[in-house]
Amino acid sequence: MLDVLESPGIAIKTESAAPKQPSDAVADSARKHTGLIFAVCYSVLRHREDAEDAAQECFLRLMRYRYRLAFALDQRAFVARVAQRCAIDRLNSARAKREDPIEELELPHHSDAAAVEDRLELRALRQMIATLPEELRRVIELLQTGELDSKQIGKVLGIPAATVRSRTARAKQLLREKLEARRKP
Amino acid sequence: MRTDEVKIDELLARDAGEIAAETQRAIESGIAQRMTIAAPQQRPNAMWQFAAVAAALVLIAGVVALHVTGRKGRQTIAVVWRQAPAPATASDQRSSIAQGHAVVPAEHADAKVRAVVAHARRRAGQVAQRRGPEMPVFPAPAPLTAEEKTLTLLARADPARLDELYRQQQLMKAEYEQRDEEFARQLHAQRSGDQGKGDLQ
Repeated sequence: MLDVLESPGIAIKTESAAPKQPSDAVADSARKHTGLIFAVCYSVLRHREDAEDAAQECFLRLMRYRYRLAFALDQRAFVARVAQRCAIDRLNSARAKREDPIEELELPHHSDAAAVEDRLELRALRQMIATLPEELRRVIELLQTGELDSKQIGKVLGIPAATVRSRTARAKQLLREKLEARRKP
Repeated sequence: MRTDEVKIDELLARDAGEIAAETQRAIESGIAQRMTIAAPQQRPNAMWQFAAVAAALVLIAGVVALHVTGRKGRQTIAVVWRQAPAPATASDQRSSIAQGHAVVPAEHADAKVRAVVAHARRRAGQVAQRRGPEMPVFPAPAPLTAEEKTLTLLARADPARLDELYRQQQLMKAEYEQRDEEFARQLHAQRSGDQGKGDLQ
């Protein structure tokens, strides 16, 4: 029996009476971790459409590695790792196509000078994050999703949680120095 | 612009808030449904899944069993794996009888006897194999009597003494025959005398 699910902008046909398949389990897992997947992809790519494409690729990879996903001790860390790899692959291909893959932040239309200043600072922060060394940048990107703690980030990157914390501190120090240097006339 | 102190944590928190807001917008726009739209096209065959999982479980169970049982378990598997001996044929049984091994019915034999009989059959099979399949198996000779055994032992121990015994035996035999003849003659004479006296009376 076919049901039609209505969602904003798209209608999907699914078989509601069909027996549950492993792919359904993966789909459930993907739905459960959708926020994590998109947040990781967006944190790496900083581009909405690219992040959606990377999330789609991540889902297909999860379908391919469904048994490893089923036996993973920490499913969130596993999903985040796959999402990060997809986003990095997407970033590399995007860099090959264009110079700056980072999406420009929209500035507020009203004439509030403080708000405009905040947006400019945020844009500068993103550009500074993009110029960090890769080992520090990966930690900060995962930390910025707000979905993972130090232990899970360590599992995603294959490093101890203490190393994650030390890299976070080093990254923040570097960002602080870059921001100070930017503010000095 | 704040020039007194750089609040990087605050900026990072705002950036994280932007990411969270973007994620929320993506979820509201139905990204989960768009991600899972390709699921039915990639459904694998359930039979292959079951076979793969079952094979993996059997392999894991075997490895764990070997690990748990240790050397003794591996020896047991080696014994089971080894090829069983060929069943004894009628020729093997005849060879076994010829070599003096007892053939015990399996239902009446205990484990030890069965082991001995099996060993005898295997040995007989090996001997028959060395001789060749066409080689006849001769029956066992008749057992020796007590006198023959004594003479055999004596002959092995002292052949000269055996000759002396034989000569004495022959002399005794001749003497006995002579005595028998004398006794028969006397008996005949006595019977003849008794008959003559009766006739006279």
